[in-house]
Amino acid sequence: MMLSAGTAWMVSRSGDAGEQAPSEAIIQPTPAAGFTASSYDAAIAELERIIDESRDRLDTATVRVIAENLMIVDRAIVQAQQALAQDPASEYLNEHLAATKRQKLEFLMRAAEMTGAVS
Amino acid sequence: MYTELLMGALVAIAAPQDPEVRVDTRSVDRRVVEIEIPAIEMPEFDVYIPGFQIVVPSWDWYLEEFEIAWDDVYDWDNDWDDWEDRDYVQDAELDTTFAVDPNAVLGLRNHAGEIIVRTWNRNEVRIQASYSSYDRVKVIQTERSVNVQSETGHGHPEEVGFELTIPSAMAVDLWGLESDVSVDGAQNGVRVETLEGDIEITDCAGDIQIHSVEGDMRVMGSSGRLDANGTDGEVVVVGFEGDVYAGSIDGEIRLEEIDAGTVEGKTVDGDVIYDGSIRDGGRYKLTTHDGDVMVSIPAGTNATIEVATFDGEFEADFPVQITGAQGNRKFSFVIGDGSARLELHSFDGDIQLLRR
Repeated sequence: MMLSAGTAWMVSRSGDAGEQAPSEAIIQPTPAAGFTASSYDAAIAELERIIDESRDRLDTATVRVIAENLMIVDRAIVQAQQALAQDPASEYLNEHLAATKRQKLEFLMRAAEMTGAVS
Repeated sequence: MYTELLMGALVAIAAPQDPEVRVDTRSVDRRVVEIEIPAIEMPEFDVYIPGFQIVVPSWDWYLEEFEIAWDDVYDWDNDWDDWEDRDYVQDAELDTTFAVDPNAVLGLRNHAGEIIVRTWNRNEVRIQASYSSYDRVKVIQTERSVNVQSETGHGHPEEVGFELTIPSAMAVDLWGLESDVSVDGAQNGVRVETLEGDIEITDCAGDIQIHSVEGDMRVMGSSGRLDANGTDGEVVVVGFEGDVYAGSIDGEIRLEEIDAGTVEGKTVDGDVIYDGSIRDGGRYKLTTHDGDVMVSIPAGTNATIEVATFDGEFEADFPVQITGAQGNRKFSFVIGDGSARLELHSFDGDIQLLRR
């Protein structure tokens, strides 16, 4: 396929991912090396617990920022899962879901580190 | 003097360590000195004498080189019942200059307040601080480090403003909970962590690591290796020579005038913009979930470019020949001999490629 100068090519306009119901059964994210999907989820749950226990040591603005950003990442994960439900064979969507989960993990690790430092 | 020190040692050995007194010791290139003290763990402790503060360092610092410093304005024997009623004003100031090994590490830990670090061509450190007399500033110097921290006798210190001037060869390691931080001219590595506050790095070199949970980060005219990782705020890098890693959750990533063989820019909610070199054999990964990816590449670039999006469009201002397509989400093409690798991904945004 040749794209000429100034051409816009619609790679995919397959609808809003948010309009589709997630199908957990067919979601098989590709984990990063050394991590399985379940170990991601376990690590995320543990870090969320640590941060939750630190809430009373943090000021409300910090708690709000952490909550808002968790919501952003969680929304991205849900959208990626919903997209993957539509196209479970998509290499990109599998990679994207795993990468977004990894970003959440990294964020939680940073937040836990900082909240730990506050105590 | 020695009596007080001995008493302090006994008190400290018997008492639990105060975590607030512990200076962050994760500084770069710290030389650990082993002190043999059989059967006694040496915690940090302070002995307060009216008008002075004697700081005995923790076990990995030179015991024989502790600093004797200064400036407790507040009467620490005051009745704590008045503590909650205290009226914070920055009514105390510190301004001190002392000689230092130019290759030593500067460490600073501040609860709240701006931190400004500048450099000069003297082998001296100047510390200026303004703070409430309810709080205090502790400075500990060893052969290989200068460690500064704000603290208070009860709870967290309020706002302490720091301005430090250091030799440009000093490595810098700063931690601020609610602090805007700027570092200008440090040539041997910079590490900054803040929970809330903007970070600005100008004309620095070495291993630069800046992390902020809430705040914008800007790096201007610097070199080395950059790790700028934020959460709620944009990351802007203008003029950087060396590998770049820039990440955020809710913020734009803007990388301009970059000369690097390895670049990664990623965010969840924001645009990713790259304008810089594409070296032969280099690797460049620019990704976002909800935003656009815009890349300007120089004429004569040799790269294999992978584009992926779920719900966006790809646009190039020059002809490209698709050579590899994986479903309708991802494809690639080659320009020149294809030796560099560019990955441009946006789940819910457009990808734009421009040739300079």
